[in-house]
Amino acid sequence: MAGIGFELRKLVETRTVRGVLGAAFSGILVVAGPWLLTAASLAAAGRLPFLAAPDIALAFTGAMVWALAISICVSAAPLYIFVRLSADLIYESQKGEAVTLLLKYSGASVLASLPIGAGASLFLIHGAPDAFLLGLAFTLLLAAVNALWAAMMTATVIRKYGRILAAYALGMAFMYVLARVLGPSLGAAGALLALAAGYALTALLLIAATVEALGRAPYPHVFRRLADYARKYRNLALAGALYAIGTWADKAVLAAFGGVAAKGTLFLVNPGYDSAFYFSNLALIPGLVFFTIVTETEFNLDLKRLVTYLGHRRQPEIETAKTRILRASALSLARQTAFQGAVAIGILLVAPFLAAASGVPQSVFARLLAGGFFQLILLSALNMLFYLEFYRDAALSALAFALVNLCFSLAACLFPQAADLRGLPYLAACLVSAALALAFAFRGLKRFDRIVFLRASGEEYGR
Amino acid sequence: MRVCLVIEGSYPFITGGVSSWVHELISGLSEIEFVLFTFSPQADQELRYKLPPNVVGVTDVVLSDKSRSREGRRREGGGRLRRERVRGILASHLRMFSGGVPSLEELIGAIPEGVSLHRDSVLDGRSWRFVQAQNRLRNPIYPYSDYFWAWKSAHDLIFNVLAASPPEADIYHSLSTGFAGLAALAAKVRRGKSFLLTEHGLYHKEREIEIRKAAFVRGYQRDLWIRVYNRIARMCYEGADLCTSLFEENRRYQLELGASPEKTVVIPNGIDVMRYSVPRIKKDEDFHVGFVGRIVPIKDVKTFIVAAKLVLERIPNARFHLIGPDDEDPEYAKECQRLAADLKIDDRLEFTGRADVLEYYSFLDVVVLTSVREAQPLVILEAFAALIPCVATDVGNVSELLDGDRRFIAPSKDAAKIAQGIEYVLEHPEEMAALAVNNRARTVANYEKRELLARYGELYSRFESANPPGEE
Repeated sequence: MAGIGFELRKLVETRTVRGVLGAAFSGILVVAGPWLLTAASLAAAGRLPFLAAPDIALAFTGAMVWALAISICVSAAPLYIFVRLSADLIYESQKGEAVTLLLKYSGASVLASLPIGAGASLFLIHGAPDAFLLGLAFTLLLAAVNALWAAMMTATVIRKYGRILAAYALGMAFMYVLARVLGPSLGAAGALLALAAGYALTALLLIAATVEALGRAPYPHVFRRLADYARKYRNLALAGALYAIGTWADKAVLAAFGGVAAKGTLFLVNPGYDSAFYFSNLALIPGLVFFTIVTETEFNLDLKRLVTYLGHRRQPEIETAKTRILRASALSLARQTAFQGAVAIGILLVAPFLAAASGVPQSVFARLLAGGFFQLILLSALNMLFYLEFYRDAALSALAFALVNLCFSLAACLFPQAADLRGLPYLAACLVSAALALAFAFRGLKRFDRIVFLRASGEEYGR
Repeated sequence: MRVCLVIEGSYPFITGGVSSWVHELISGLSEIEFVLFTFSPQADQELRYKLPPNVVGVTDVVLSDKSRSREGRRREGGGRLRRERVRGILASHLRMFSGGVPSLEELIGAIPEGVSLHRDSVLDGRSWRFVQAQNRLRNPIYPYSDYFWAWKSAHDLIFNVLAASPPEADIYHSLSTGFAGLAALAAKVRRGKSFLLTEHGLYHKEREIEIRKAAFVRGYQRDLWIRVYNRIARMCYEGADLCTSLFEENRRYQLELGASPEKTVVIPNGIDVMRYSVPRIKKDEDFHVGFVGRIVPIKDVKTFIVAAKLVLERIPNARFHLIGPDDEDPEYAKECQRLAADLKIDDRLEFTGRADVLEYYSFLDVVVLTSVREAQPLVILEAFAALIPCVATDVGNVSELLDGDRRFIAPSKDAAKIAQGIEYVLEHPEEMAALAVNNRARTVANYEKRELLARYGELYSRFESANPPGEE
């Protein structure tokens, strides 16, 4: 997102109230627009009369959460590889080829989703009155979400932020209208079908925008190339998959051990914890905007300078550039952390209300908020590692995130006599993995000059 | 007895003076088995010679082959062994930077054969810090990347050579210092066999000239490469059991770089005088000037062509023959042909390509050599055997071969002086006839192939018996 970050930075650097507010608003739209639009649309749909029935609402929410979780966990690894190949093609000005890649990858991910969705439906839906329809809607939703990830990533790479927001607005509006039409007769399945259609429309609009912007060119052996990339960047794929698993680990464990599901389904959810998590994650938005405008752009500039210096400058100049990027990264991360800390403290003031609205104790909400605070640091450090192409270190950090979250969550659930520890595994996982990722990132920066020459010598160091 | 000839960029893939010498040596010593251990810039080169039957094997190593490094890496071991190797490499460098010669015995002792050290030498963390420290000291002006890549390429080449496994033999006979010499020295250290070094030109001097001329090698890179080649030469001179050179001046250079006097000897080139003693014929009324050699920049063919133009301005019936292969550097050959056409002398000047030189020696009136670098050119000896006078540039041992007669010796690239020499030959036929007889007599006395073969046969026998017992 460094591209849009530079644009927004220009606004901030005008040092006017209008400029700063404009940058902040645009930043929110860029980093969280689709998320907020979807959330608002779902909230509006939730007020439709047919979703007032608790079992229908639970079936809808459960199936939606499971579709998203399965999609993210299953598609993260290939998606990271797809994004890397797309970005390389676009960097090498093979834009038409990137579009062909997008079309073929989206098609394949939709096709692959069908058996996965059908299999999951068979396992998760038992004896629900509209089992077939619910399974079908669940499967289609899974396919639509998978296609949307790819379309969204490519649109982000080519910086079509306006088109992304427009596509989401149209898609979610379509979802709302369709839910109103289908919901009364089809219940939860109708709402799911409407959501699947909304996502599908969004994906199609984004793909159309990408085709329009980049054109098309033949790109043979797409899947062989993806397989080659997967071999070369296996740690990148692993980092993606582990991060996705880590994100869902505590929720999945809590749902498995004390969740509720609609009648005739195993779509277990933990509504209180999930809502609290959702609200606490909203607190990340300002930090993400800060990251996009400040931390990432500064890092990007310093890294470009260092790489240029490595090829063309004397050693003292290289060392100065290296010291500069180390100091600047530490400083901008510290500023971002302070900023995010201030936001978190601000939200803590309204924590009692948010905790009550979610139905969890205030302590659980506070832990989730603190976890989110460290997750932003983890995300920033992972981003640095991706810039440096230290995929192995990123995968190790994501492994720590997933393992700590999963193991602590399991331990907390296996010993129910203990106090309410919800949120603590997530906090511990974010804390440990953020510290690890930061250590890797700064160690990597310190050795970056040597590693660039190692890689230029044909060694796949750290990838 | 089996002799391993260690050769870089020459026989049997490239034609030229050294290659001819090697071919004659192998053919002449038919009772000895030879194996060739060659270093080439690229793989799968075409053979330019029909190998004599006593060549029982050829092992060609591509100098820049990275697969060798990868193959070696699998066997390079880890932990303590690697640390020791890195320590050894850095100690060798420190010794070299303080003016000494790295101890190859120490270094090779720590490296199993087939293991490449290119990672340890450059990419290990300690080596990286060492390279940086050296760069700080020695490369204050130019970019660090220049220094790093020079360092890395030099080490890749050196350790690729050291990683290569030479064929089994009783004697390792290298035809130059440089990478061939280093490989022969490593074979000596690893196998405990004798190492004989024969130099035609001086490899390290030739490389130095090339490096100084190359515009892309700048700053400390230049010093580094020159230092690398000099140090390798020094290691070879010190490590060889005997260094032979073609003439005394080169022997003195060997002594200057550390060879001990009792381990150096001059063995001049030799030709089969009878073979080149062709009957002279008068082909026509034209005056025939010959250039015998490859059409490559080192022979400075362009100076010959310019000299031809100057001669033709005064002697319109002169004809020029460039006798030799033109496929080694086709671009240069084309440039030469264009130059002849531009000077409008292409009707009096022919590029024969590969041809039977004996046919030309029967009617040529003078042979001209315009090389910018030579050792002891065989072509002059061949011309002398064929009773043809020579005009040549003052390179290598040419002055001694031409008896120091300045009428026939020109500075490098001096086309006018070459033209003067040619004209002098035309204008003094009787003096030239007497001189030709004298030249032939000197060739028979000092440069006979029989003598050369006998001396090398004797050296091989001596060094075979000098090998430690039980290792043959």
